[in-house]
Amino acid sequence: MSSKPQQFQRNGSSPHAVRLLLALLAFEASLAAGQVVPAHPLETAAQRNAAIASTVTGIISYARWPADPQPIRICVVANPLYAQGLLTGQLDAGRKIVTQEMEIDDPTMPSSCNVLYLGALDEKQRLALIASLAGHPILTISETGPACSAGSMFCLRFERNRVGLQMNLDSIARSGVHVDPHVLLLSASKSRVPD
Amino acid sequence: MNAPLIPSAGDRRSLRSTLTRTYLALIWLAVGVSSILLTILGMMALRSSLQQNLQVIARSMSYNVTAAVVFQDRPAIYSAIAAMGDAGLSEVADVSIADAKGNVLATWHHAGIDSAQRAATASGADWLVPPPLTVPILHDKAEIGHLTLTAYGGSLWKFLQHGLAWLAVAFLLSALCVMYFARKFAGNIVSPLHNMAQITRTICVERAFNKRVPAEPVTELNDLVNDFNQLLSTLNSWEHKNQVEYARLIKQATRDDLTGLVKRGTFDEHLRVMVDEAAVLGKRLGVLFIDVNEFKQINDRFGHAAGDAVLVGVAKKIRAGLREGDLAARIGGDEFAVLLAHIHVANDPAQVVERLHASLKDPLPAPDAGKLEVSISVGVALYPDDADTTTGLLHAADTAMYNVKRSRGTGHASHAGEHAPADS
Repeated sequence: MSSKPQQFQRNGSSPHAVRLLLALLAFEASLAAGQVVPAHPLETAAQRNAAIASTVTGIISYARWPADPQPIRICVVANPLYAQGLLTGQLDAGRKIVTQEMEIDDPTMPSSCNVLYLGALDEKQRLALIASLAGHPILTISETGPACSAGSMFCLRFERNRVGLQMNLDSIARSGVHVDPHVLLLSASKSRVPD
Repeated sequence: MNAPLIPSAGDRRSLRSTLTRTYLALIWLAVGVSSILLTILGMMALRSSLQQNLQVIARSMSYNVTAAVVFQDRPAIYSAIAAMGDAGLSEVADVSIADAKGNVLATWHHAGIDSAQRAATASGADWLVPPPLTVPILHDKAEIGHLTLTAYGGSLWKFLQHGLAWLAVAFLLSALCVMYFARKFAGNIVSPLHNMAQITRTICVERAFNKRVPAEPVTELNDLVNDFNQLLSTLNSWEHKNQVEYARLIKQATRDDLTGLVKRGTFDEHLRVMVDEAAVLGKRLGVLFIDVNEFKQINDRFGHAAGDAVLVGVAKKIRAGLREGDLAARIGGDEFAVLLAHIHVANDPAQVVERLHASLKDPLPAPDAGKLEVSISVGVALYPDDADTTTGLLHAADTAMYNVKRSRGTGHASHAGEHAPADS
């Protein structure tokens, strides 16, 4: 950046024409700049509950089921830590959402759930569950889980001040639930941030 | 032709500079008005297209960041807007994205624009740039945030700069052309005026009314030149008539109609000049006073026509006897005077008088009277011997002539001699 505009700023008595000229001269090649405004860190359980609820409804808002269920039913399975917001909070994804807790071996699960919010499951349990859901358009979201590789479509992860989102594109493709590609893009754009 | 035709006071300007000034004012007006109008129109068009552009950019950005806003993925929001900002969207200065509660999630701006925009704003030039644009970020028909876009206006600035530069270039070019054509045009107008002025001057000095202004290629000027020439022709013929009339009047005033000799006044004037000259040079002059003898009887017997013929005949004889520098005048009914300019010895006049008497020995032709024998009496006075003034000389000559007449009447011969009419 040239120093001319600075001089101009100090010298308030510059003639109008000179100011205009300096303003015109000041258009030079520029560098991009800006910032990610930091959010409040997620410290309390209530904050985390709310963040989870908001993220899950966000995912739901980008998902489309073949039969367009009304309402959309979320089944909370295997005691996730931060499902309280889902179970009690006011959920809004543009469509009506109801939430219920469900046992992992409930046989009605494929027919009565559109979304599964999964707590901690071991590998074997999760694979069995996923296998039992085969052929049903059900969105699966794991609250925890390493690298989202074990069959869940979305895996959440607490970062310092936000809920991170990971996706398993294979699972999403197989599930029969249509997920808006905008969401899919979110998992691929984490590299070029100034902070 | 560049110099003013008339020696001018300080506030006079040449035609060329007047024309140049007028033309310059005209092209200032024409070029200025058209350039400014075009620039304003162009700026308005650009500004509205910029505004539309901003709308499109804002909508497309808002669409691109929707998912990231839904998940409050701030780095993703920044990535999305920065990607668009860097992709050559030079019209965007600042982008700011906030959620529905108004919390700013991410901002992006062109580094390097800030100070320029500050300068532009400080100089009051931000009217050029469209105002910031805010569009909602919609998801499932609900507003989940909004995006605010501030325009850069760089292209508008460039357009304005270029517009002003072209205005200057156009004005310079036009001014050069105008000066050239004004010079040429002024030449076309000035050269006939110059010709006319020159001819007028020549006529004033030389009274050469026969001069004419050459023809001109410009119709109106040629008409003017023709009219001027016509006026000159009229003046020429007037001048000619005047000269003829003047000559006639001069002759009438100084010459006797009948005999063609000068009149008394002219003779007196001439005599005075010669006396003055003779006084300076110490010369001698002679004055003859001549009277026709028995003229009254001739008139009474043969009529006025015969009298006139006698006078004409005597005048002719007198004139024939004159030498170079002498002057004869008819100063009364039958009285003549002669100035003799060259007197070397005192009896020179006597020889002249003798020749005069001799020439009158032949009778003179007269209508209704056949031929008449006419005699004259001549008195002589010499300068400075007899008198040294005009009147004195004339008086002395007159007296001498009367003495001659008297002695003729008593039968004495004078030195001037005498002749009586043969047939009386």
